Amino acid sequence: MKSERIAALLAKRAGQAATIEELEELDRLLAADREAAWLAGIVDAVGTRNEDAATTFATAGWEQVAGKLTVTPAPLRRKAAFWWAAAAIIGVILSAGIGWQMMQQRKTAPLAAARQQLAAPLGKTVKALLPDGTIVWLNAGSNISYDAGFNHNNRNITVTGEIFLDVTKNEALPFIVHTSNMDVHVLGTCFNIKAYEDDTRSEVTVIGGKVQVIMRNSPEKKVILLPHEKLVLAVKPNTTAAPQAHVNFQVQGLAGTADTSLVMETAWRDQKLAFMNETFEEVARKMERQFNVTISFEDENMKREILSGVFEKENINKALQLLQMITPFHYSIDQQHVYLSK
Amino acid sequence: MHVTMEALLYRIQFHDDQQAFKALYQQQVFPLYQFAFAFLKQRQPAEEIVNDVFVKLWEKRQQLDKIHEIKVYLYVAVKNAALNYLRKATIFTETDLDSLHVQHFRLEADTAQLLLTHELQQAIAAAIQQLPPKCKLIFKLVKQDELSYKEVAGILGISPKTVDAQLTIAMKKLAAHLQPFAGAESIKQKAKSY
Repeated sequence: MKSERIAALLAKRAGQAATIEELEELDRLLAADREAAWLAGIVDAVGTRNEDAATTFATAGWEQVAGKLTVTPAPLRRKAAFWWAAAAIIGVILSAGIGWQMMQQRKTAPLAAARQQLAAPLGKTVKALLPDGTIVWLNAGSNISYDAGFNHNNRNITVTGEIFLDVTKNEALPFIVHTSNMDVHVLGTCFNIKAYEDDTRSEVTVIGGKVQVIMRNSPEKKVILLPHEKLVLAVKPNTTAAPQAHVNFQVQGLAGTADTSLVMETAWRDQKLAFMNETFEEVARKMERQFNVTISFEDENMKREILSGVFEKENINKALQLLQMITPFHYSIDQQHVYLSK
Repeated sequence: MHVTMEALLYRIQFHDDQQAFKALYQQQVFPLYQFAFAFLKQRQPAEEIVNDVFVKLWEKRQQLDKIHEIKVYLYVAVKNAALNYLRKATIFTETDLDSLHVQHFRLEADTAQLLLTHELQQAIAAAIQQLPPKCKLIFKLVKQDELSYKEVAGILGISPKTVDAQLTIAMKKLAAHLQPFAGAESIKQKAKSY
């Protein structure tokens, strides 16, 4: 009977279901019976984890799993905002000519199946994780792609639209962002890219860290940007792939704001609409993407008005009302179409 | 470095932390694979099913806080996937816990620690091999995977009482099988300690 009781108590102890009284009872029983204690020791040792086999299995298995973890981008959450505080930030804003992009896609068509695509629809911001642990935010109407070798033999991504990257450090595999006009090389830091196909200029903005920008049409021109510097490159939208004869760019300091935590160039990540000394036409294009609307000016002169402002992205009505406080105009909305007039 | 399960889950859910997910994977994957193998008896589908469960878990990471017992959740997900696989593969075979293939597990004692003779090691292996499949699986889940009665009950869809009864049977059988060695071995150990 005693050995049965010992077996029952051993079972309870293993199953984490024994009470303190039962554990004490077991100790007493085993202390009184040398043979039973020996048997209990053996039975207890049976089933010890085989750690070597487990480690070998897990290491090989993770290779299989890691590549499959990024396919579905998770939507941007406000909770993630504290990421910024911790991160040194480099913002790079570029914009791209449409023609080259289209040509490139055609050229690489046979490889298209192997390319991984991430996209944010108009009116939405998307946050996703790349296979190397880099975090990417895609602004409305943006798209990135990378090939199967990403994180294995390269860390190259191709961008249209606007993204912000928090790049994982890896000296062995430099992170390179390709747009139609330039290549941007980064070694482990945060990073913002804007490359909408219908914009007239590219911008690279650095907030912390260092990047190297190489102009695609004149590779001898390499520009290193330091924190709080911004490179602005003039591009013509909707041109063909014909190389531009000269590259027109300038490096400038970031415009200061009263709120140092706010950087105009990257405010979109925080669901803010921000613009400084931009034309009404440029602001309208930002709003079209953010709210998925079409904006028409009934007065051409309005397009050239210069505006500055920052506001929370709420809805198109609220945004237009806030704009009316900066400059007087009338608007009407018909479904997804906004008409502006004096 | 040991990070609690709660900390890992938090980092996965709120920081999209792939390193934390890797740590969770490495902690849990092997016993889950063995569990899948018990149903499928083939290495490759067992591996695929387990990895698939983890990929799906990653995709659902934003709802991680709604899963109350992550270990039970993972074992149940593996069990369901394995049974689905079997249903598709073998239309006419009913699978239940009593026909499981648990031989695969290396349920041997930590020999280095106990200084067991070769003869005794073989006796232990034979004793474990003799256990009925369900009994052996429960013994494995409790002893090797370090799951509680409650967790095993949740995973297998049986009552904690049944788990207790099965494990007690396993303990008794093992003890009975090894009893003949007890006298001699314990005396030998006593002699060594002098």
